[in-house]
Amino acid sequence: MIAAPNRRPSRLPALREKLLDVSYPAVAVAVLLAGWELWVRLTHQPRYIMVPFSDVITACWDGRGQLLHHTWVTTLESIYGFALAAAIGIPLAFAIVSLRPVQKGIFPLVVVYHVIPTIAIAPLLSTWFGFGLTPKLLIVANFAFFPIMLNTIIGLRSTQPLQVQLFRVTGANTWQTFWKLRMPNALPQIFVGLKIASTLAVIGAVVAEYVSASAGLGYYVLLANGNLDTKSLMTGVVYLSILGSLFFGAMQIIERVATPWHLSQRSPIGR
Amino acid sequence: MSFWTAPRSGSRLRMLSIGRASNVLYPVFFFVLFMSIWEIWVRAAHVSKVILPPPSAIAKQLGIFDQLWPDLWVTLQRIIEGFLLAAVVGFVLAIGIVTFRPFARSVFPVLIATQVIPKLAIAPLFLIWFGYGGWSTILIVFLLAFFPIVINTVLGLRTIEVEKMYLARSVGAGWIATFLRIRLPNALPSVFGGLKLAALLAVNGAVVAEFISSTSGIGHVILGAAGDNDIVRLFVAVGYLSLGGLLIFLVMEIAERYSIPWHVSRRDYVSVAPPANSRAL
Repeated sequence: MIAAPNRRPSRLPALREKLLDVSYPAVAVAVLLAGWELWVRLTHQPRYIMVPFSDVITACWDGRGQLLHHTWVTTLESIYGFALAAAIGIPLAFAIVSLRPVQKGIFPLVVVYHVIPTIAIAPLLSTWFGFGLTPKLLIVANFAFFPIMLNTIIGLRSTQPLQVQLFRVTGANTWQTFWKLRMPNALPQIFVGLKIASTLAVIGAVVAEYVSASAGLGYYVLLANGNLDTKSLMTGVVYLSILGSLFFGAMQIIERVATPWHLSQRSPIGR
Repeated sequence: MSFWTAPRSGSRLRMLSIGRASNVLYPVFFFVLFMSIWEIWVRAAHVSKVILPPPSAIAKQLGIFDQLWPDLWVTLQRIIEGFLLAAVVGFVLAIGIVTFRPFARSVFPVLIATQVIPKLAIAPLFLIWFGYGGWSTILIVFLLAFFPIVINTVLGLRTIEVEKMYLARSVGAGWIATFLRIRLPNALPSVFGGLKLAALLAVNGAVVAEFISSTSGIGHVILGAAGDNDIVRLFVAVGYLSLGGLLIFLVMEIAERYSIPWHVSRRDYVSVAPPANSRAL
């Protein structure tokens, strides 16, 4: 039980606790993977139902040439869409925060727009923009845009009133207050949004490729599914997971460079 | 211009609360403006109906609801079943995680780590395992809705002030009483945050699952309409699906207001999309 009243924070076994925190999940993962491997091998599952874990890893390495090609396509779609989402989301958040009509008129509409399943209009984008890059980056932007906008709004609104008053007392104008106080203050929260959006961008690219594509990891996964080729499907998922983690990691590095002062306050989970 | 001139920590924009007339009039004005621009642009530029029909043409076709209803109902049933399954399993698992320490240590980090896997990418595998019928869609909905429910419930149950637990102990409350009277009410705001996010994901998940492969459901209808270049039908189907999604969301919203009335008063729009669920899909 967590936070039981009689559990005092003991000093000495801190290292032991840390070790347990690492070893428990490690054991759980090992048991899971071993169970997967043994279950498939011992019960002789058909290859279209499930393949052993070791086969998936081998296939990841063996098929790397083709898989990296597809990964590159998905990467480009994700990056372009992500950039578009940031280019729309951040200025829109500025507008929502600073202009009252936009805040009262546009923001509720954007929230409702977010609640409706916009994935459903993905096929329409193919009708409008063909089968190339454009519809895909629009779908990606559609996925990634909302967390960026929302977190930028939260960040810009979270400025301490006392700090604003201090700026006013020292004679700073609106522009200076924005660039020297509000913006730096909002940056950590903006990065929270960008990090969320970075993983959503990859997922958006996959969905876009489900709808129509001739290359990319989503296409690869769907093709493998059509061929009942579960091994290829799993390798596609592994590559996608790595791609998503790389995106997230890249955002984390950019965050560290952009907001070095904030590192100490941040929680380790990277929220 | 309150943001620039009068910063107050208490000023918040509250969603779904109809306080003043301007809260309604502004969105309605922008909505009408947007629709008028769409209508005028399509008519003035003579855009083909196959590319983009004007809103008036879509509005005229809203009557095909009768045709769409069977498929819409099938999809809504799948969403609700998958969502309820996710809620029950997620809640039980979350209680397990919070109660048994070894369980928490081994399972919870793994649960968080699996958020890296794009769940929609494993969706096709479900079709192989569970066939091309409704069950694969229900389970994909379950898969998407499950994680935010578990994670938010665990976070909610964990974030409790030690003082409250001391108080519970000092008045002699047992484990069950402590859980029901203190931990659970304390966790409810976070739980509902997870449930609402899960509700949104459930709708999206059902549509994607039906895109991948299905012979019924509104996703199937939408893909078919896109294939036939019947854009009006597509828009009407998307519109009704959105209404269904909004309804589910509103049910969660109302349930939240009834079960935690003390919390809504200080809640703001942020609760619509809690950033804790960074890798929700």
